[in-house]
Amino acid sequence: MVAAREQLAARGCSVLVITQAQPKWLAHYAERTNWGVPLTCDPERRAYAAFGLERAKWRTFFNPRVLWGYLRAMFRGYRVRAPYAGEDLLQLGGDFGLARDRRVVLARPSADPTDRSPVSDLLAALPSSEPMREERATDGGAR
Amino acid sequence: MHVGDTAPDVELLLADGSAARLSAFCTSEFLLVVFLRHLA
Repeated sequence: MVAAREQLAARGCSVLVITQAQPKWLAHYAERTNWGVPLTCDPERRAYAAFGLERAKWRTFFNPRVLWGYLRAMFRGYRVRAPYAGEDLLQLGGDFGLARDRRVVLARPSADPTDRSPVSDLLAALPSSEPMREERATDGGAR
Repeated sequence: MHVGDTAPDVELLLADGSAARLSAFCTSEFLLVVFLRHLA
């Protein structure tokens, strides 16, 4: 996550994570992880709905492409865990790039539970921009 | 939500239960909003 965050920062892009957990579960999760970006929650999934993110159907999990996606992820170290209480296992995620005025410049809603764009694709889809101020200061480009 | 649309200024909750608007996080040129499926 650190490498991805730095690559995004070099393009002037910060990161916000939205989850569907209750705040107490988010606090519990945040204690044992270090994403280095703001973690927020939306337990009623209003933001998920506003961004048009759908729920998968149960049969999606038996789609060979999805099964293969989970297997590949598990080979890379991903561990399947039960969701926290109140989280909807069928809720799909997605990635959206917003300009400062909240204009959408990138929209990648997930088509299935294993469908996430690699950071390289997200970077390629971002409009060109200046690096974030902190990034400029650390890469020797500060005047 | 499609490219060119304006995202609604939705209300989000922080881990301490306080509320924050999406616009409060739009402080750099771009903001990548990552919606997770679930936390685990």
